[in-house]
Amino acid sequence: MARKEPHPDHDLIQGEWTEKTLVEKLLEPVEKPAPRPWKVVVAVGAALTLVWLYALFVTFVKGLGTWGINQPVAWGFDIVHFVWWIGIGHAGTLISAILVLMRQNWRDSLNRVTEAMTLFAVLAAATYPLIHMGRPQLFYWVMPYPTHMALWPQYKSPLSWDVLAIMTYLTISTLFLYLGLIPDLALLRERSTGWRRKLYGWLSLGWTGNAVHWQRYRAVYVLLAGLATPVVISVHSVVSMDFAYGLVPGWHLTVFPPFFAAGAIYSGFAMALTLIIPLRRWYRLEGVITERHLDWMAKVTLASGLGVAYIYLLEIFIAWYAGEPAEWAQQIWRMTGPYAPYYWAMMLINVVLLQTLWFPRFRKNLTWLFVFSILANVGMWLERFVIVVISLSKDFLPGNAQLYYPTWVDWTLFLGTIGFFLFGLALFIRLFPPIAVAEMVHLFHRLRKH
Amino acid sequence: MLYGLMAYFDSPEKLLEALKVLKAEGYRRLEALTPNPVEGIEEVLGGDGRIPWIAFFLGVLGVGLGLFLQVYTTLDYPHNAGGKPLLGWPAFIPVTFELTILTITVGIFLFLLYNNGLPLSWHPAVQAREYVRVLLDEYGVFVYASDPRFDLEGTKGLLARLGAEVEEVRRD
Amino acid sequence: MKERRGYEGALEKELFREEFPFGPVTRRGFLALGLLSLAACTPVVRRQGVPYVRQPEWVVEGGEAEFVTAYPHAGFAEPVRVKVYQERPLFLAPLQRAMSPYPLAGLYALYDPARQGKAPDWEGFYAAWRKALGEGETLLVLPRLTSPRLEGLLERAQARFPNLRVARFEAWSLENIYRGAELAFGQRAWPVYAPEKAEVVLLVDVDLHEHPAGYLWWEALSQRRLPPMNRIYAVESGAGLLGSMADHRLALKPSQVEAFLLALAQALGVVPGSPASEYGGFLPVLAEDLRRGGVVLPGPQLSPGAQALAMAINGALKAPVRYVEPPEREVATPKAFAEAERAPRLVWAAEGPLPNLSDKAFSAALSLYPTKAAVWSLPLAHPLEASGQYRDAEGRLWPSQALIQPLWGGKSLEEVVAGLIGEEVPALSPEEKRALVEGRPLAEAQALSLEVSPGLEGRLPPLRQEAPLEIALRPDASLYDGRYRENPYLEELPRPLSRLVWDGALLLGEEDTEALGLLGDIRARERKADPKRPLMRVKAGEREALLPLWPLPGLPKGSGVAPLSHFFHPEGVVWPLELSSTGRHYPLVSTQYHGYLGEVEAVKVLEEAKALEAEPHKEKRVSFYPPWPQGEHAWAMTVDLSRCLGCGLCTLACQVENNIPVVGKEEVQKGREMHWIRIDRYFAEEGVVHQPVMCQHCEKAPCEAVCPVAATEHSDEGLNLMVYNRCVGTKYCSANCPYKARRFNFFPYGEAFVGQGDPRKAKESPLALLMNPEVSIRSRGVMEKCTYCVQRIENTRAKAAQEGRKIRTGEIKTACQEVCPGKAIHFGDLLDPEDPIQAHRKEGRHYALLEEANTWPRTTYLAHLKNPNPKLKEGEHGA
Repeated sequence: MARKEPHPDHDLIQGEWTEKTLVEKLLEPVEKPAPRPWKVVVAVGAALTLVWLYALFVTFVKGLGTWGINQPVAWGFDIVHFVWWIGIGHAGTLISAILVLMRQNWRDSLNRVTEAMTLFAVLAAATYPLIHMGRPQLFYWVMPYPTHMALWPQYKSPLSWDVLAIMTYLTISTLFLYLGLIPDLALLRERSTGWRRKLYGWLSLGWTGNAVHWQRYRAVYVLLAGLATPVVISVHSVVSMDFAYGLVPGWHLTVFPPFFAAGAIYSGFAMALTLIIPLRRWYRLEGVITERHLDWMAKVTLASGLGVAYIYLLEIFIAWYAGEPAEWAQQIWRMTGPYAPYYWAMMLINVVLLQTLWFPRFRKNLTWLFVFSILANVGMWLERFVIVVISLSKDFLPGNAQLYYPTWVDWTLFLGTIGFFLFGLALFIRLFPPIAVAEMVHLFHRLRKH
Repeated sequence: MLYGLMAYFDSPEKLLEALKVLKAEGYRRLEALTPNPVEGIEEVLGGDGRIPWIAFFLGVLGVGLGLFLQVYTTLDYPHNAGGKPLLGWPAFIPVTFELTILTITVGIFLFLLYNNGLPLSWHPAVQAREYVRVLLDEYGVFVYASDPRFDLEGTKGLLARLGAEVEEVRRD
Repeated sequence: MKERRGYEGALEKELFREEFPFGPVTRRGFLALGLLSLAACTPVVRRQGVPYVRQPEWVVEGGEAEFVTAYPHAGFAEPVRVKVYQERPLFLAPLQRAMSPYPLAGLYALYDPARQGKAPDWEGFYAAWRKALGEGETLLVLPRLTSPRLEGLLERAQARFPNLRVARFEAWSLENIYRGAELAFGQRAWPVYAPEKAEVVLLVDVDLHEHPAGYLWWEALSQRRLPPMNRIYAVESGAGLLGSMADHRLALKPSQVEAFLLALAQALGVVPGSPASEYGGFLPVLAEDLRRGGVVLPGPQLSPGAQALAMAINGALKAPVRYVEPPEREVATPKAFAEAERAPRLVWAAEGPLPNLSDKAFSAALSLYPTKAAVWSLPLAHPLEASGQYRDAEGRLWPSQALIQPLWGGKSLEEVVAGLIGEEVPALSPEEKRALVEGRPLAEAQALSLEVSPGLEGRLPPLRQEAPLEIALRPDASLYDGRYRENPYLEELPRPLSRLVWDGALLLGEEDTEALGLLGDIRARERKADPKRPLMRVKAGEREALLPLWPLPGLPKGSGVAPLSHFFHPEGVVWPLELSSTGRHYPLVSTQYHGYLGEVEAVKVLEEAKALEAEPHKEKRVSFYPPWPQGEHAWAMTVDLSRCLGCGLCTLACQVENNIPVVGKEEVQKGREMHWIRIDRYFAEEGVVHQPVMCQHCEKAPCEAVCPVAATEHSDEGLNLMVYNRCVGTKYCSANCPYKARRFNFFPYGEAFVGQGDPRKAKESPLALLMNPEVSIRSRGVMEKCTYCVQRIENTRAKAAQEGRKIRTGEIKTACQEVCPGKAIHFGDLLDPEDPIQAHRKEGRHYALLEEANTWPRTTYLAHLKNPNPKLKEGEHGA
C-alpha cells in the first residue's frame, strides 16, 4: 500500500511504537508494580477517608449543629462542596461524550482517567445532599414511592429535580465508563491470572471481540455520547436552578444555567489537568499524553474560563442595571463586606490569572499549567463560596445578616471527600487501565497505518 | 473434540477479504473477532439498524414516564405549594428530561447486552491458545466445526491461502 | 376519683408513671385543681386533693381552664389570666391592660427541677429560728411587701418575738418617689398616672421595666400613637425602649437630667428663677407644648428633689395624675443589704443580690432556688403555688390564688411568717373568691387629695452633682436586679436596643468608647462577627465590677449604664464612674449586629400629617397563575409599628405557647436562636424603630415551592403550614425565605431544653410539663416557624363547631397578640367584614414587608408614626 501523507494528528502518539509495545505500555499501571507516588496517594487518600468517616459519624450522631451553618446561612460548605464536586465531574463526561461527537482524536488518551474522575467526583458530590439533610435517615423520602402517608415528592422543587439529575448523571457516566472498559477488561482477562482473571472475567461479561458486537457497541457508544452531552449540560443547569429558582439576592439570576455549565467545564478541565500532569510524569506516559494534549486542555480551560469571567462582570452589571436595592446591596457586600477577600481572590484567579492561558509560553509551561489548574480549582471553590455563603449571609433585611464560620467537621468532610476521591481514583487506575487501550490501539492504527 | 478453526490475520483488509471469500464459499457458521471495530464489516456480515429506533421508543417511554410520575403524584395528593398551579408544566421539564435520558441510557445498555448475548460465560473461540492476539492487534475468524461446509484440512488450507495463521481449537 | 380503666388509665400511667419521678407530689395532688370557673372558689390547696363527690358541670378532666390570679413581680401585682391545661399552668395573659414579661417567664421556674434542694425541714428551721430569736436580735430581710395581710402577720410576729427585726430590701427602690412626694406635699404618696389623657408626655429617664407601671404606661401611651397622636418627649441618660418611641429625645447625663428638670420647672414658672440653658431651643418649645395638657413621667432613680419637681410640674400642668397611699407600708431600699451583712443572725428572704451569709450565728436563706451560702436554705413557693395579696402599680389590692400544689415543698412568705408564730394562713375569703371570679381587684387604692405646698424651692435638697463620667445602675430588662438569673427564657430574651443575650454589659455611648480608644477594635470585631468585647474595670462608689463594654448609639456623652443584675451598689444607683480597661476580652452575644437600614425599605416611618394624607397603598401583586380556591377564612395579621416598642413580650409569649426551646449563648452566637418572632431594631434617622418579624404566611410562599418533600404547604385559609413529621431538613425553605423567619433544629434543642442540657434526660424532667401539649416538640433536623398559633385556631374552630356557631370576630387571639402591651398585633380574618383588620389594611400607612419580592404576605405592617414638633428640628438639640 502506498504511504500517504502523515495523518494531521500523527503527533498525538509520539515515539516508536508497535501495537504490542503500546499495549504493554498502556497496561503498565495495572500489570507492573505500582510506583512510589501511587502508594503515597493511596495512603493519604485512605487516611483522609478514615477521617471523613469519623466526621460523618459525628454529623449523624450529634446533628447538623456540629457544622457552621446557621439561620440565614442555612447552606454552607455542604452545598459549596456539592456544587464544586459536581462541577469537577463535568470534564470527564465532556471529554468522553462531546469530543466523541466532534471526532476529536486527542480525547482517546484522556477519556478513561477523566471519566473515572467524573465517577468519583459525582460520588463525592452526591454524599453532600444526603448528609446535609437534618434527618438523613429519611433521605428516601425524596424518591417517588408509595408511602403510608400517601405523600409524594414535590416536583416543583429544584431539589427534586436535583435528585433525578444527579441519579441520571451518575448512571450515564457509570455506564459510559463501563461500556468503554469492556474491551479492555476482556484483554486484561486474557492476560491475567488468579483473582484478577476472575474479576476481569466477570466484569468483561464474556466479551469476545465479535465484529458484529463491535458494530452495535459502537452505535450504542455514540448514542450514549449523544445523550451524555445534554445531560452534562443539564446537570449543572439544574444545580444552578437550586439557586436561580430562589429569591435570594445574588441567586435570582436567569444567567445561572450557562454560568454554572461554563464554570463546571472550567473547573473540570482544571481538575483533569491537576490529575493528568503528575500521572503522566509518574507513569512516563509522555508518548501518549503529549504536550499537544495538555495544550488542548488548556485551551478548553481558557475558553470556558472566559465564559465564567464574562458572567462575573455581567453579574455586577445586572445588579446595578436591575435597580433592585437588595441585589445591589448584595454586590457591594461581596466586594466590600467581611468576605471581600474571598470575592477578590476569586476575581484574581478566574479573571486575571486566567488570561495567562492566552499565551503559548504559559500553556506550554507545565509547572505553571499545574499550578494554575490548582488555582483554578481554588477559584471555583471560592466562586461557590461567594454564591452560596456570601449571598445567604446578607439578604433583604439588614436584621437577617449573620456571618458563617465553618467548623472542623465542615473542613474534615471536605478533606475527607478529597481523600475518598484520590483513594478511589488510585485504586481505579491500579485495577483498570487509566488510558483506554482498545481505543488507543485503534487510534494508533488510524494514525500510522493509513 | 474439535470446536473449530481460528484464523489470525494481521490487517483488517485481509480479514474483510477472507470473510468475503468464506461467505462466497458458502460458510455460514463463522465469527469475526477483532480488537476494535472494523469499518466495512457490516457489508459482509450485515448491520443492525434497530438501535436508533429502540432508542427513540425508549425516549418516548421516558417522556411518558416522567410526565406520568409528576402529573400522577401531583393529582394523587394535590396541595398548594407557593401558590403555583397544580400542573405547572414548566416545573415539570427538568424531571421529564432527566427521566427520558435515564430511560434511554439504561434501556439501550440492556438492549445492547441482550442483543450481543452478553453476559456470556463461555465461548469456543476464547479457548484458542493464541486467542489474546485478536484482542490485541490481530483480526481473527473463527470457523465452527459444525459448519456444513467444514472440512478440517480443506478449510485450513483455504484460510492459510487467504493469508492467515491457523490454529485448531480443541477441548483439552 | 373514679377508678379508670382502659386506654385512658394506661395513657395516664404512661404520662405520669403513678407518681412523679421528681418529688413527693402525688398525681392526685397535682390533678386536684381541675375546676373551671368554680375553681377560683376552691380553698388554697394545702391538702391533698379531694375527688369530686359530684362532677361539676362543664368540667373536663385534663382539659383547658383559665384562672385569674395576681402574679407578683418585685412586690407589685400583675393581674393575669392563667391558662391551665391538664392541671398545669401553661400560659399567662394580662387580665386587663398589660403585663411585664416576668410572670410569663416565671412559668419556667415553676417546673424547674433546679428548685429542688434538700427536703425542706420546716419544723427544724422554725425551731432554730425561734432559738436564734431567743438568743438575740434576729434580722428578717423581706423583699418589697404590698400585702396588708403579711404586714399584719409581721406585726403579730414582732409582738411575739421582740428580737425579730424586719428590714425590706429591694435593689431598685421606689424610696425617692415617696420622699419626693414628702417634699412636694408633706406626705408620702404614690403617683398614679393616666398618660393616655395627656396630649404631651415628657419621659424623664424612665424605661418600661424600671417603673412598676411601665408596661401600663406604654399600653396607655400606645393608644395615642395613632392619629390624633400625643407627642412624646424623652430626656434620658440611658437608651431605653420608651425613649426610643419619643418624637423628640434629649440625651443627658443623669445629673444633667435633674438640672434639666429644674430648668423646666423654672421655665414653667413652678419654681422661681430662669433656666440656666435653653438646651438648644428644646426647653422653651417643650415648656410651651407641655402647657397644652402635658404630663411628666419621672423615673424612680431620680433624686427626691427631682421627683418633687416633677410632681410640682405635674401639679402646675394639671396633669392627669392622682396620688394614692404608698403601696409599701415600709419602703424597701438597697440599704438593707449592708444591714443584713452586719446582722449576726439573719433570715434572708429578699430577692436579687445575695449578701454574705457566712460567719453568722444564725443564717437562713428563703428563696425560690436553693442556695449553699446559708446554713438553712428553704424553698419559697412559686407565686403560682401560693396564695397571697399584692397591690398593683396603681395601688389596687389583688388577691392571688394557688393554682398548683407546691412542687418542692415551698412556702409563701405569709406561710413562713405564720409558721413562725404558729398561725394558719386563712383560706381565700369569700370576697377574695368573688374578686377572682369576677377578675377585679379586692380593694381600690385609697386616694389622697394633695396639693403642692408652696415654697418648694426652699425645701428642695441639692440635686445630683455632675461628674465627667457618670454611671447609672439600672435594672436589666430581662434579669431585673438579678432575681431572674436562673430563667433561661429571660436570659435569652434579647435586651432592648443592644439585643444582647445571656449577659450584662456596660453600655456606653459611641463617643465615649472612641475616647477610650476602643471603638475601632470593637467595630473591627463586629465586622468579623467576633463576639469578644473589651472587659472593663468599672468603679463606682468604692465598688468594683468587671463588665464587658458594649457601645450603644443614643447614649449621651459621659454617661454609662450598667445592669443592676451585674453591678449592685447598696448605697444608690447613680455614681461618678471610673473606667479602666483590663486588656482582657469577654464574649458578648447579640442577636443583631447590623442596626442600620440599608437601601431596602424594611421599616416605614411616617409623620402624623403625612400618614393622614397618605392614600391606601395598593399592594403590587403579579402572577400568571389563577388563584387557589379560598377556604372559609383568610387568616391574616397586622403589626402596628407605631404601637410596637420592641419589648419582646411577643417573642416570649410565642416561646412559651409554642414550646420553643432556649438554645444557649453559644448557639445564639452562631446565629441559631429559635425565637419564632425576632424583633429587628434599626437606628434610623427618625430614631430607633422596632419591627417584629415572623413568618409572613405569604400567599406565594417562596419556601413552599422549593421543599422537595412537600413538608411545607399552604392551607386554603392562607396558613403556611409546616409539617414537622414530613420534614427531612434540607433547609432550602429557610435559604429561600426573604424574611428568614424559619428556624432549624440544628441540634435536638427541644429535648435539650426540657432535659436542661441533656436531651436524654428530657423524658424524666419535670420541665416536660411546661410543654404545651397542643404543640409538638420538634425533633432534631426539622424546620419550624410561626404557625399563627394554629392550635388556637383549630381549638376555637372545634369549640365553635361544638356550639354550632361560626368563629366570632376576634375570637382567636394569637399568643403574641394576647400579651402585647401596645396592642400592636392584630390577628384576624380577611373574609370577615366586621374584623378590624379590614380597617387596618385600608389605612394609608399599611404596607407589606418586601413587597418587591412578590410574596403576597398575609402578615402586614402599619408604618411607624412620628409626631414631631414643627418648631423643633431634629439634630438641633443633639438627640
